[in-house]
Amino acid sequence: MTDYNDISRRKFLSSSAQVIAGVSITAGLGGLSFQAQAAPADFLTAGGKIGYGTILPLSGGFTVVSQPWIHAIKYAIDEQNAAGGVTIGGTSYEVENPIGDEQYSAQGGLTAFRRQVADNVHYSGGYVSVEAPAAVQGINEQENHLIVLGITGKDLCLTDNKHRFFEYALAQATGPYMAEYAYNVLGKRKVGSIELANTWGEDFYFSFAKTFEKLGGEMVTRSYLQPNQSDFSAQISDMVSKGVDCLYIIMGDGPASAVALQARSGGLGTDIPILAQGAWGPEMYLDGQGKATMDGAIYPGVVAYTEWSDKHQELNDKLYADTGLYLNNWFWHGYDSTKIVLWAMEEAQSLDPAEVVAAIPAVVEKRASELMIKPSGAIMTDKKGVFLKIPMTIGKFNANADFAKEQALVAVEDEKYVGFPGWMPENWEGYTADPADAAVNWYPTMDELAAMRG
Amino acid sequence: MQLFLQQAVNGLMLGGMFTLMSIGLSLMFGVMRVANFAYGALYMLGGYAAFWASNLLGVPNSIAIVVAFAAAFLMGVVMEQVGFSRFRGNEEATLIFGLGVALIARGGAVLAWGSQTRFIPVSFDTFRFGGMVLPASRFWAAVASLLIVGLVYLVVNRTRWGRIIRAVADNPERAALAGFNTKFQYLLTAGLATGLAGVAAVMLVPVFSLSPAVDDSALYTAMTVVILGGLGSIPGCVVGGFLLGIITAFSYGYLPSPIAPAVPLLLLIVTLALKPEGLFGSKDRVV
Amino acid sequence: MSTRETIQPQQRTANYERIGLLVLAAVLAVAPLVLSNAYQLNVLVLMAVNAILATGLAIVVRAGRLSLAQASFGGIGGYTTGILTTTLGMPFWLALPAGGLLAAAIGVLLGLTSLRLRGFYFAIATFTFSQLAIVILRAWTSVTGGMSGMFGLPFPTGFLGLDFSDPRQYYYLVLVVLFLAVAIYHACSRGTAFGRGLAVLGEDEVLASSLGVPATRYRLLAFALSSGIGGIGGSFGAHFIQGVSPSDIAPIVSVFVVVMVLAGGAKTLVGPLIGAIILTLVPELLRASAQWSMVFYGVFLLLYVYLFPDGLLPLAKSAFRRAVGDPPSGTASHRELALVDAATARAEAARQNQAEGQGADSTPIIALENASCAFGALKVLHGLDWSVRRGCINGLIGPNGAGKTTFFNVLTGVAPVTEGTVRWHGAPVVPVPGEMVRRGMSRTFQHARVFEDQTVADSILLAAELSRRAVPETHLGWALSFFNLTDVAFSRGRDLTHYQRRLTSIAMAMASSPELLLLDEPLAGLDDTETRELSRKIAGLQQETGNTILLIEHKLSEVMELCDTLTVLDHGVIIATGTPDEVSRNSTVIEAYLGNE
Repeated sequence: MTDYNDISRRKFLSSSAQVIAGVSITAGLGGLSFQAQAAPADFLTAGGKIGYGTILPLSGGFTVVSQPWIHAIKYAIDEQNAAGGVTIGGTSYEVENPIGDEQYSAQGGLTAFRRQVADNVHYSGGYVSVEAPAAVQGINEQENHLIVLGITGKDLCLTDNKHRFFEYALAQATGPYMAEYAYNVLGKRKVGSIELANTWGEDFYFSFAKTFEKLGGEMVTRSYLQPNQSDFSAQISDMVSKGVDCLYIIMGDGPASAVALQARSGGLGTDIPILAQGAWGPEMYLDGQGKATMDGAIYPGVVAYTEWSDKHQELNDKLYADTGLYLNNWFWHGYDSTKIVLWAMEEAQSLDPAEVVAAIPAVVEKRASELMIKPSGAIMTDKKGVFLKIPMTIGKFNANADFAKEQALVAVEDEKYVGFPGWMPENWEGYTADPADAAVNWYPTMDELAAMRG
Repeated sequence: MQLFLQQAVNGLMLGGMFTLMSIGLSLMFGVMRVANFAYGALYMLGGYAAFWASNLLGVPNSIAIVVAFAAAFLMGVVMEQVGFSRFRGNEEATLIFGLGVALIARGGAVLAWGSQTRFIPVSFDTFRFGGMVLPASRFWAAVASLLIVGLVYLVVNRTRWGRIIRAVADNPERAALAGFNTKFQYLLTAGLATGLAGVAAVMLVPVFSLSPAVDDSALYTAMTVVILGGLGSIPGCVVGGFLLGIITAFSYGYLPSPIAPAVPLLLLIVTLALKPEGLFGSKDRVV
Repeated sequence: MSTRETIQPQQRTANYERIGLLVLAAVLAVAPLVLSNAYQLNVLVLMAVNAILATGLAIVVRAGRLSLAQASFGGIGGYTTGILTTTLGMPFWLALPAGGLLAAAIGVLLGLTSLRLRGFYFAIATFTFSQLAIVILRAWTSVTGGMSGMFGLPFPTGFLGLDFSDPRQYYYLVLVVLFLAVAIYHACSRGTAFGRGLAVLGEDEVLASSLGVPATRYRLLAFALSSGIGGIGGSFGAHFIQGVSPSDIAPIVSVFVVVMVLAGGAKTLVGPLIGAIILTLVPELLRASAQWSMVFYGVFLLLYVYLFPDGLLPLAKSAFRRAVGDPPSGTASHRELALVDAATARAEAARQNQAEGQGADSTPIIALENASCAFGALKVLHGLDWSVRRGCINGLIGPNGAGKTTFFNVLTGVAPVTEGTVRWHGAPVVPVPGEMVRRGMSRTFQHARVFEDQTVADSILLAAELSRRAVPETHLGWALSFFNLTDVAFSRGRDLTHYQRRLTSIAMAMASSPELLLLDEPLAGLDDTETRELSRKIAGLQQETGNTILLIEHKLSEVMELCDTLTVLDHGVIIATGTPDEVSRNSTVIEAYLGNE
């Protein structure tokens, strides 16, 4: 009996010790692994690569814009892979670039996004942002997926969602410069505008109008592009009769060139400057008439869009060979932003988007000189993701340029409008406020901007 | 008042151009009772034919018209031969066939020529009198449109061939008994109708500009015009064209632009509900 | 009545069809277990939503109208529930019926235009409507978010422990809704008298109305159901994407829904569903080559019109029939026809008519009092006084253009009585096509109209059912034997000879056991043998059932032999009435005919 008790007690003690030891070791290891970063393997695709997807419309009318963008992302990834891929913890990973068709609709965009998520892709760029439902609704945040995108209008892009990297300038920051340029440099007083009827167009209208009116100018007519609209004569005549001396076209691509053409032949002659927003690029000036219509249009582009270097030549040649198109503003949406994200992975030594997004400001600071768009850093917000501090330049389109060898956009001479800040100051309340909050000053004037910057 | 007159003139010029854009669709429906849903696509392809003729070959507009007419004529004949003749009387199949061709044409145009907007050279000259602005390009396009429509009217109403196709339109069986080759007449009419879409494109693309997406707006415009005026009636087509032109100009000129496009659409729906045969169509043509 | 004989048409195919449906249901139920990642589930949900839209649309397509606005109704549902749940904070399940009802109400408005428009015209009206919807949604920015649309729509609230933010559970939710939609579609096609009426309305509006289908009411109801289902489907789509924008309801989206219905097979129960499956999955497979997708769609449409114009499902079915050895010419009937033997049926029919005859007094069944009919300025009938003679064959003759068919149309309510009165059993009535059948008067048409897509048996059963005056099976047994149609009972209308069509059309008119039967030129287009045979049958019909017959006929020798009494019409005026003998001696009549010919 005692024997039995002894043995059983000994056995009990030893087995208890074993269990305790086992549990402790496991817990310790578990704790270690918990403290360490999530293993990179969790963020790799089935092929063992880093997935960096592109989601853009591949069909229909928007391909002129999306093709340079798609290729920009691809070239950035190719260059990184050629340089040995992304190195994390001593291991190098190749990057793959699955492409999804967004079909220019919410449903198409979300389906393409979910397909990438299902393939364990945790990064994607592109998105014709006005329709980016996954980003607007924070679905990507739930999936731990970082979306790299342009600016979509405050109602859609300033919602809460930390997994976003805004790689382009805010309308609120560029609008006042365009207004001031039109008023002070061009000496224009009466602007007629036509815009896309969405929150993107609205942002560009108001951020321009507030400053222009403050300066003493007048927004004479405001109208919108309608679906399938092919004739603009009534709107143009309205502008002519109201003495418009400057035409503000807040849309890009085909509809914009149709408006410009009909404005020119409808009484707003070439002496009346066109201010442009949206997808404007060399493809609009390929035909003789396109040149005559839109030459000299004034446009805020990234710095890289007004410069030309060997690297520009190389990229332009490649893009032309692949698509028959030339470098445009949309190319610059994709190219450097992709590199920034890939470098941020190395900076964070992680493939976890939550950590990569946090490393973006640091990497932009460190490696700005290697980037074509010359960013001045990045602003990390509490809830709305990272905003790239991207300098902008007002330029004039030179429609007669040789697009194979030089830029279509030429920076204006006045230094104030070259390389000006395309971002809103850190202390802007828009970075923290609810976009539906009417109490917020969503469209500060140039003076108010200057006051904020201090 | 100045602006009112200006918008009225805008509407009249637009009306002339809309008439030309629609005449082919109207003719095809009048003679063959076929609603060609690929009409807009044929207009678009005609536009590209004109674009390449003018930009690559550098030929004048008069030759571009011939090129576009010939290209569109051929496409119309082929569509009639392999499609419409086969589906005659089956409206569903006719509609789907037209849509199918339109999708292929548009998708193909994007693939082949890109989706960017193209231009055919046009003058920026304007005629001005009394503060009114008449863009020369529009004015001449509108005048030429009316001349072409007038020519079509004369051909249909004053020539021997016109009498034949009117007889075929009226009663194909009787026309066949009278010894006319109705199949041949149908082919000819289909070719002429789509050829006119090509001609319209040459005249109008310089004014409106060109991209693969113009097929939709051309189709909507033509459908609206021929229904307002009455399917198959040339005078109806003219009246429908001017009505739509003037209404478009005034609604875009005077209403907030988000509401403006609703006006022509409402007009069309009301017409369909109250007088579906259109202003000039005959009742028995409502199928 | 005892069942002596049972016809079970193509039992094997019918059985396989049931098995096919079960397999389809099983595949749909198991799909999310196999296709289980978020993307695949996403595609499955969109597929089911499309299937709901397509199944709803099939109801109006079945009723003979091609609508290019189904995506707009989906949008109306999606925007309605979107606005109610986000802006007004209403629970999804309260908002959903509101979305469906609003879509249904707007559908009825659009349906009103369908009463006047068909074919292209109707398609264009719906197309215009869908554009108008987009313009309104874009312009009404404060409520709808304009061109950018609305985002952040909530998932439907869970219940019973269900959580619809899980895409798999969402799929099953939508699948249940789809099942309900298919059940409603079944009720709108074969499942109910309403559905069967709707189906023949789509085939031949005039004939269907003459048999008692209330065209206006049925068609509007069809529109309400179709767009209501569309609205509900759209709601589930929008709350799954958690957003809705004008680009989701572009006209091209509606076109694709139409293509789903037609390509799958509009006249089959699950054809639209199959179409939705194919047209949702194929683009997903094509995503890699999206630039080509528009071209592929176009090619698909052409393949459809050339290769499988009835739809893929009917194509598969006929291939299957060939494989199992069933006859290729299919029948629409899946009912087992329990045929009552002819003798019993005849006795029953006679009894029924005698019962009606006994109950009646001496007032004529139908009479005209100073009745005129005019179309605008053109007066066709001038103040006619006339009554039908009960229990015998009445003839109506007259030269071409005398107004004979208008006379019929006035009695049946197709043409208006602009002056004077029509009396039915002495009481003044305003005849309405569908209603006159129920009162006990039916008619045939000058052209032997039958339902091209229905079998003879189904057509006769349906006619009896629509009249609500006869037991369908009882009548069928009698009609097939009386008109010698048993051999072609399961042939479709389009496969019949002219004579068989004529017989079928009379059998259908007789299906309501009418007190009064109107025959419009029953002998036209028949050869001599057929003419003699049908004359005998008409006489026999009257003797056997004791009903009253009024016929228009040009073959005068047959009329003289067949009719008990004749009315002669010329230039819209009755110029003579009497026995054939009396009439043939009437000088006015002779003059009218001679003067005319």
